[in-house]
Amino acid sequence: MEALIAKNITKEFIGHTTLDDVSIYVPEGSIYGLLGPNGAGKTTLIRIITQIIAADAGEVFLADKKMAPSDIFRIGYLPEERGLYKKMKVGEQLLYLARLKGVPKTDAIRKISLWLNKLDLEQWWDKNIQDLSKGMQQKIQFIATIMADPQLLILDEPFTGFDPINANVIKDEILQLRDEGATIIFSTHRMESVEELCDHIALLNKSRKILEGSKQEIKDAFRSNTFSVEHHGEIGELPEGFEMCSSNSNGVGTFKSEIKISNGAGGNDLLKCIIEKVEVISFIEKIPTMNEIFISKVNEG
Amino acid sequence: MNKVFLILSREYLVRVRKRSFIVMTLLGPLLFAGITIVPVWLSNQAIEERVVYIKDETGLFREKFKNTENTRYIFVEIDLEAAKENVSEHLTPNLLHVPAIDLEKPSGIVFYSNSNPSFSLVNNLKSTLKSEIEEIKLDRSGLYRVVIDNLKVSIDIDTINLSEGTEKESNVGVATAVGYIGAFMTYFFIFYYGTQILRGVIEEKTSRIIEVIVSSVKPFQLMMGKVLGIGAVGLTQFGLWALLTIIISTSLTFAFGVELEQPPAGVNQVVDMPDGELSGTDKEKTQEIFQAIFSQDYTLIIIAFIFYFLGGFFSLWRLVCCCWFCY
Repeated sequence: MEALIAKNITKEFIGHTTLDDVSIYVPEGSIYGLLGPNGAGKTTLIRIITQIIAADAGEVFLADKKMAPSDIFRIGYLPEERGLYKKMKVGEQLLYLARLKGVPKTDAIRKISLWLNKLDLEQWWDKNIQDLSKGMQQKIQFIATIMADPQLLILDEPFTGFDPINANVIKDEILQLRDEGATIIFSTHRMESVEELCDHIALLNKSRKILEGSKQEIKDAFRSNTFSVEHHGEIGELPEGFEMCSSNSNGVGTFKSEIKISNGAGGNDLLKCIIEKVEVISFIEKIPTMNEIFISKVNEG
Repeated sequence: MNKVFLILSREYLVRVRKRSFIVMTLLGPLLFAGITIVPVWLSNQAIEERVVYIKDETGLFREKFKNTENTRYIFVEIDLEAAKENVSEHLTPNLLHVPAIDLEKPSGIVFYSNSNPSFSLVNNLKSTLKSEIEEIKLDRSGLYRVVIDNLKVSIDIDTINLSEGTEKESNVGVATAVGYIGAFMTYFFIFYYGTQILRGVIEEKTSRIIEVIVSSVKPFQLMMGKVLGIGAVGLTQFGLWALLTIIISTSLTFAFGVELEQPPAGVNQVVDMPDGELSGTDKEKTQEIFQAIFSQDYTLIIIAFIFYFLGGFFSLWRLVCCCWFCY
């Protein structure tokens, strides 16, 4: 079942189409990566989903029902450009934002202290936001986003501004939220976090969706049937259907070769063939990284 | 509705706790109280006795300058240069020199002083000289003062307000003044707090928190909460001003022993009139004005203020909303 469906969304700003008939299908309980180069329309799509702006055409469905204004309370949104009231105290601000999302006061206070503890911020409860470092402000905003236990979380570039340790803390929290049943839409340029976190992705480029599916499917689709083999001794001539792309020696008799299978044979067939000729140290299928897929698709489009 | 209240209370509390609000709330009444009390207090202060030396070359004004509580006139016969010297050497602070003048075209009268003379002092000298010269000219032309005085008519229209069933004396001047002050206050409050809404919106837009807020509440609720919250801050300030002004005025009145009900001497320039005291009618008039000020219907004024403040404030809000939706 899909947690969120956006169907045929079109949005034009004066003289410029930002989204051109874009549809996305976000499966329930997944981490869905919304990828694309700058200016592809990711943030506009997110703003349409969060009802900050209206689409010119198209519809958004939340859990199979057309989204109503009141559904906004079931969505947690962390915008890319972060903002908090600078002159409000941390605790006060979190309480305010939680109560706006409809969390009862006592519940909210309990949750705030829980989360502040978890992210090591409990001693900042009574400090003004403007006294906090940027990273801390980001954490506060992250807490504000997830405090109402939203069904759907939309995180626009959640890791910018975090050091690697805090980025890891946030990553773990995101995974835990997914495990607890939340669906997460996650917009980013950072491909390594996509690789690590996302189950599904959609790739937007120049206002259009150019790719969508589960990470595994996409990777499979982009497999080039190329294998990376490390071996002692030279392989020499290969039979029909196997093509040596490159072979480099490291100087002590060990070679690293890339072999492409072009006749529909499998990895085992290749292995059988070369095992007779050389001693194989490692044998790995070369699967394209998300980064490679991203770059090739964007350049292509 | 609950959300509106939440936003309202945040807007209200954040602003009421601001240092600028507290400072303005305290300074406003001090200023008002100062404006009402200080002139009264000052005029009640004993004024140092002034001595004016007069060198009268015409000999016409010798007995005409009458000493008052604060001002003493001494006629001198010494040479003008010597008299001027005395002024510059602080021996005699003030010197009025009346040369032999042509009564038809009096000119050349000079007042020497070693400090800046007060407006009222110079005015007094002027009016005394003027009335004396008029007197002499009247005599010469064969007219009698009584005849002239009889020709002058003074008309006073009493205005009575019958609107509340009881006859109530009203004062057009005071009512107009109160109206002007009220209008100014309403104008000030509407614009000051209207600007506050705009600034609030700008703050939310620049800090981008607006995206988080409008993904939690409807924009209408946000705007409503903001407008009502800031409006409430305005009314709080107005209320505190009114209250503090009363408290400060009353306590100052007690502290300095100033009796506000009494016509304060010095509000008119007539205080130093040669004949000394305020004339009877002037006293009555001042009394009347004070009575009129105290007899204004302040409940009505406050209700009208709140009504117009809210009315103006909400119309301004509509303007802000237009800008908002243009985003």
